[in-house]
Amino acid sequence: MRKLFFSAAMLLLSQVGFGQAVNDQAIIPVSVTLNSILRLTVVSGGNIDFVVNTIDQYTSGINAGGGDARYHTKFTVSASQDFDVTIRAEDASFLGQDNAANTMPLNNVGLSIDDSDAGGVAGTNWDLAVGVLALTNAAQDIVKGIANAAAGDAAQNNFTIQWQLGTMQGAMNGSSLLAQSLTPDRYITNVFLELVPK
Amino acid sequence: MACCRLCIKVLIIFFLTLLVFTLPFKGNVKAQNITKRIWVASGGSVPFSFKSLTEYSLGKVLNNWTRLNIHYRDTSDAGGDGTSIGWRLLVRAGSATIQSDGAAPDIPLTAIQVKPNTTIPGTTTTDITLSSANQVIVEGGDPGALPVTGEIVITFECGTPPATPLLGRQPDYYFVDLIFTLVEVNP
Repeated sequence: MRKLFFSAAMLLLSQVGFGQAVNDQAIIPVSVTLNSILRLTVVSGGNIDFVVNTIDQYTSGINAGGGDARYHTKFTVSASQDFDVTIRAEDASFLGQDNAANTMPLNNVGLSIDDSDAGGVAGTNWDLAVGVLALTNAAQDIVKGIANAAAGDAAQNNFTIQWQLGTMQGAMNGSSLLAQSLTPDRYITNVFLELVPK
Repeated sequence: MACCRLCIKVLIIFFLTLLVFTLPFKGNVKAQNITKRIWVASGGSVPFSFKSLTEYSLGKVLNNWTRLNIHYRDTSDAGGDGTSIGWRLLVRAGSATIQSDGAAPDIPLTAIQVKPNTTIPGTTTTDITLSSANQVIVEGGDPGALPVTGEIVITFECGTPPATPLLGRQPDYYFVDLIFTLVEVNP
């Protein structure tokens, strides 16, 4: 019986032994890791300071039209994917520094967005907010990326925010600073620029 | 006791049947005269990691990344020149796209280029853009009864021209298998 099983086992092993180890294929795994790159850099104008010290400024505001470079914030975006940029104020209103009870409505500050320094083109790479926006506590889109065209470097995505105060333009407060009879104070709030990947 | 004998008889008949039916196949295996082997000497995985906008814009190149060794020989039963008239190294992707491991849209295979180089005499190399169909990247002539042995060095590119840059693609981990196959060329 043992001999019989031994013979059978040898027979089976011999069959296996004739199988030729031929390896005519090689498989190589390829991996692609795309790391997210989202950089928003404020190049200049990180601190905008309006000083109202004439009646004309109280009635007509400062930087109507947005042309004065002293009231410009330049920022760039480097992104590996399409993006939007939103803007919002930290507080519900400007807060007085001398007296915290003093407030000034956010919509006395307006902003418009300009892309004249950008390598990209509005309508092709992104859409920009149109006209003069009022600063709000809620986030507003100022740059809306166009699909498959917004991602790019700082040269392509180079923007300027043109700030103005009390000019009553666009969506800003329709009353002048004088008409609002605001208490003299130093009013501040932080403004957040947020880069949102799409 | 009778039962034991019956079992033995059944086993003997079983193994004799096995022997009769397997011997012809054994003979066929012995008649195989083409030997093809391919193995990865180094660069067994190809990792592209994009971490700057420059890389996103210009693509990435892994120069001389993978070294494949091949051995090919075709002989007649008498040991002379076999019937094949050459050999080819093929490559194809294991899937239709470079698959995302997350929820991002897949990347097309055309993002990857395979550029072979070899010092094996009498060969021609072809740079290809990856697809799911087999493409010839190295082709060698008929070596007669002599073996062909040597190294094939492969450069991989991802997102380089003429491929579309990966700028704008969603961050994720993407993967695909490259399947290299060594085949004979028959007349």
